[in-house]
This record gives sequence, structure tokens and C-alpha cells, in this order.
Amino acid sequence: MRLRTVYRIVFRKEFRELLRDRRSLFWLFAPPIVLPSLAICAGLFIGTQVIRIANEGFPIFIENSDQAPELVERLKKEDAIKVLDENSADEAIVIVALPADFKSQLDGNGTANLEVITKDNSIITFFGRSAVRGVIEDYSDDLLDERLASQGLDRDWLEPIQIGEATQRTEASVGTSADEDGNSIFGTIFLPLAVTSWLLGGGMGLILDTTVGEKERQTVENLLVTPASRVGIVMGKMTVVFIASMAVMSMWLTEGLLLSAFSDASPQFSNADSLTTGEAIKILAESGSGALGLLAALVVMIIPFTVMLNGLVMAWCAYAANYREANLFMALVQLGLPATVLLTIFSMPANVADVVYAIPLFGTIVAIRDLFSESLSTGGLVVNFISGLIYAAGGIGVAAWMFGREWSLTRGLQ
Amino acid sequence: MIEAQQLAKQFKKFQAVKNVTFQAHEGEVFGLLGPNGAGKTTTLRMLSTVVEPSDGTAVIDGFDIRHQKDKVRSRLGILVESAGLYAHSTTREHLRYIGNLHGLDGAGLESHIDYLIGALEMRDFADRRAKGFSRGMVRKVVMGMALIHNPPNVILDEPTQGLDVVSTRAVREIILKFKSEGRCVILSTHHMDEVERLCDRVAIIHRGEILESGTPAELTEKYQAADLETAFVQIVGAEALLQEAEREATDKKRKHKSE
Repeated sequence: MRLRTVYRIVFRKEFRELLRDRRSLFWLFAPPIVLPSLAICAGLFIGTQVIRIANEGFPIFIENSDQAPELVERLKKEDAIKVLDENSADEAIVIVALPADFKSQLDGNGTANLEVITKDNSIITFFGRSAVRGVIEDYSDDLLDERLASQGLDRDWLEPIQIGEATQRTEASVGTSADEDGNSIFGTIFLPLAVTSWLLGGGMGLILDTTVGEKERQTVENLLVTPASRVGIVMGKMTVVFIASMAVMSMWLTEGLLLSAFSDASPQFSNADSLTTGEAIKILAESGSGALGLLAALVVMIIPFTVMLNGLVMAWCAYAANYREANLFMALVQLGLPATVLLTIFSMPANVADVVYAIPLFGTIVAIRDLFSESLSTGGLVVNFISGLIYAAGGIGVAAWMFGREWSLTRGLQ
Repeated sequence: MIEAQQLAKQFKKFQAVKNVTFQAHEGEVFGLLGPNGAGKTTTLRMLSTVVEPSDGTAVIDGFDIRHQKDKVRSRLGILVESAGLYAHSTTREHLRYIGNLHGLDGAGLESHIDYLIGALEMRDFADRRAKGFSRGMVRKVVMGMALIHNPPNVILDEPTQGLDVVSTRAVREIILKFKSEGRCVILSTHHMDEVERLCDRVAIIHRGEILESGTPAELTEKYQAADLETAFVQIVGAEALLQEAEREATDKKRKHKSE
């Protein structure tokens, strides 16, 4: 029987089973849908609360306000702060406690101590305290400038050396660099970790179900007594797993892209007085277009990587006698993979030779790291993609080989 | 026709099957009897090409199980003792899936599915998903899957195990129907009354070897027993049966503990 026919039959059946299996669908798609939705809802709720209170002013009370009239004046001028009088002091979420000798401490050119007391540890109080601290720190800075000026000095006198930081870029690098260090760290450390975890996380349950699940359900012998090609069976099953993995991965990446676009576009949004929906979409598209090249390169690396990982896991699961054995391996993978990723990221030096990108598993992790630090050359990407395709074919081969072995398939048969 | 020739299977140090030789003809029900762990299922798995023989071979309708697996698979239907189903597929989808994997499709396959659904009395659950099926329903669907490609040779491993009286009767009638259709049937079962009622010839297998073979009447006469069950106990040995039962109970306990 032709391999392509078997592949089509098995793929259609496995895909139908997946679409009907609500539990598997939930565990596949709930995290990328529910987690960001929850985060957005929580952010919106907290944000609106903070904005509402900030508009009214965070209620604060100042003890011994006569000790620092200038500071009190600055606090009163701050829009986000509402200074309460003694009658309504109980409503304050932050209390600025000035000691009775605060003025004399300041006048003596020493350090004057005050205390910021918060009512609780809520997020609103946190923002209120931050607003108060900001005003006090500004006032303290101005006092410092005054003191330095009275001595004929300026602020540079306090900082003899200033350190600047920059990363050396490879000229023919792939993708665009994030401007801020925070985004770069996200890309170079967090993303390789997340990519490998999500890829496996998305497909793992399905791999279990389509391989060792056949043994547990005692359906494997019904398959084995047909003249269907083993490679066709494996590829049909693997395609469903691959589609599910990529669908989950795409959702995460799309959300990441949107987050990045919103983050980049936020200054333009806040500067504009009013925006139509079309204008907002245009700003977002322009902000996101920079990340599209990065995303395209990432997808080129991820596709063969996913197939290889799924193939290897599938081979093991075809060998495992039961769910327990397969789950034990999965647990080891889930623990070992993040450790491997972190070790690779930190142990591999920057600007590695292109051949490093051809090392199975490690090559792709390093490539993702270097993609975000803009040190991945086009040649490196090509090497990674071609070697990835070879390993992907190897992954399918190992899975198909294992699925065709009597000693692996008969393990666990009753 | 199924012809086993010196079939043997060794799992590491354990010899599960030794030099098993028999012939089962068209239009005949051939019984393979033996206590648990005797090597029946391994023999049937070798015949169905799931397990590779360590030595010897078998020929099914002229095709060798070692070298012509696809030909053998297309001429053989097997009902596995503990076979299960896919929870989210219907009875009809199960039959269609296995039919497709045998290279069948189109109107011919659909009409054969309808025929099997009628013949195996599966109309009530033909379009229901398998989740929650009773054991009897599962056995019927699996039997349908074994017969979807209309094989001339059928292997049935404990076909009535766990079935209620009505389903058991239905399965026995189906077996007799296979015989009347001229199929070659190999039946593995524990039920001696079933063997006496259905089988034309039997082989008694114990510790991987065939100890005796012949018609039920021949065996009963040879051992001067009242019935086949008594003859079977004499052939295998009461002590051996007791040991097998104890071993089985220990295995079950160990398995239960490990779970």
C-alpha cells in the first residue's frame, strides 16, 4: 500500500480524534488563550483602578507638616497626590512622618530622616508610595544641588566615572535588534527556553496518546495486522502532533509580536490626542514590522527543530510499554530541557563559528540566542536550517524505525 | 488454509513456543487449546505477522508469514483477545479506518461496512462514539474490524471472553457462518463446551508445545474420557494446570502491586 495513502488515512483519523477530544484541545490551547487573557484582564483592572485613584490623587497625610513647608507644597502640587488634612487623616493610604526636628536637621546640612508609612501592601498603595517617594527624591535632589552649588561644586563632582554599555553587532546579522536591554535578555535567554518548552508542551500529550496510547487502549495490534506502511502511520501521526505544536507556538509568538508592537507604539499612543482605529492599527503595524523579520527567521529554525524533537519523543513513546514509562521519560525531558537550554546559552561563547549551528539541539538553541543578540549571520541561519532538516528527517526515521520494531511494539502487549 | 511449520519463538531466555506444527483447512474451525501462558497468543501473533518467529514459519494461502507479510495480512483477519477502540471514533469510523488501511474505499467498502453492522448486530451503536461501550460492544466492533477486508482466514483469540449469553450465542453463530462460507477459522478459547460445539479439530498446546491433536471425539476416545474437558486435563496434567493457575494468580498480584 502506498505510503502517501496510509499517511493521508492516518492523518485524517488522528486529526479527527484530536478535534473531538475536548480535554486535549483544552490543554493545548487554554494556556496561550487563557493566560494572556487573564494577564490582560488583571492589568486592565489594576490599571483602571490606579488611573482612577491617580486622577483623584492618592490620599496621603503629612505628620508635622510645618517642619518642611516646601516639601509639603511640592506634594500638594503633584496631580497624582491628594494631601489630606488632619480631620480626614484616617483615609490616607500613605503617611509621610516628619520628625519634630526635621527642619533643624536639614538646616544643619546633615541628613534629615523621614518615614513613609503605608497602610497596607496593596497595588494601589504601592503606586501611591511610589508617587510620594518620587516627589521626595526630586526635592532631595534639588536640595543636594543647592548644597553643592553653595560649595562651588556641581553634580559631576560626585560621579568621577560614568560607565556606558553597548553590544558589538555582526554586520551581516539576521533580524533586528531590540533597542532596550530588557527585550534583548528576553530574546536571548527566555525565548530559547520558552520555545523548546512550548514545542514539547504543545505536542507531548498528543504524542503520548498517538503512540503509547495505542498500546494502553490495545488498539496497536489492529493497526499492525493491516498491510499499512509503518512510515506512513508514523508520519500521519506526527503531522497532527506537528500541526498542534505549531498552532500553539504560533499563538504564543503572535501574542509576543503584539506585545512587542504595543510596547514600541506606546509612546506614539500616549503622545497622540485622539486616534482613529485605522491610525492605531497603522502605528501598530509599523511597530510590529520590525519584529516580522525576526519572527520569520525564528519560524525557519523552529519548524525542523519541532519535527526532530517530536520524532525523538515519539520514538521513545512507541518503545514505552505504558503511560507510566512514557511519562517518566517526559518528566525527565521537561526537567532536563530547561537545564540544557540554560547551560547552552551561558556556556557557548558569543560569535560562534557557523558549524556550531549544525550541532543537533544545541545549534538551534544557540541560533535563537544569537538571533536576538544580532550576532547570527545569514550563513549561520542557513547552516542551522539545512542541518535542522536533516535532523528532522532523522527524527522521523527513528520514530518510524521504532514503530516498525517488534520488540518495541510488543512491549506492554497483554 | 493456514499451515504452521515448526514455529518457534524465544523471548530472551524464555522459549514461549517450540516446534508448533499444524494445518487448518478451508471450511474448518481449528481449535487451539491450552492453559494460560501455554503459548497460544504468541502462536497466533506469529501467524498474524505481529511477532516474528525465532524459527520455523507458517504459510497462509500459499504466502509465507516471514517474507510475504503484506499478502498474509490481506488474507487474514484477527480478533485480538484484549483489543480496544478509539474513544472518539464511531463504530462505522473504526471499520472504515481499518478498511482504508487494507486499501479499500468507496461504495464497496461502505456497503461491506453496512453488511457487517447488520451481521454483527451493531445497528444500535453504529454511529455512536466508542467511549463508554460495553465489553460486548467492543468485541463486536473489533470483530468487524477483523472482517472488514473479507479475509478467507480468520483467527479468533478468546472471542467470547467477557460477553453476555446473548452476545456469546451471536458470536458462536458467526463462527459457524464463517465455516459455512468456506473460511479457515482458528479459534483459541478456554471454553471446552465451545470447542466441542464449534471445532472440527483441535490442538492442545502446553508450555509452547503441541501435546496432542485430532478431532474432539478422537481425543475423548483416546483418553477414555467422558468429555473433552476431562481429556484436556489428562493431557496437560492436573498438577500442571494447578501450577499455571497459581503462577497466573501471582503474576496478577504482582502486576496489581506495581500499578
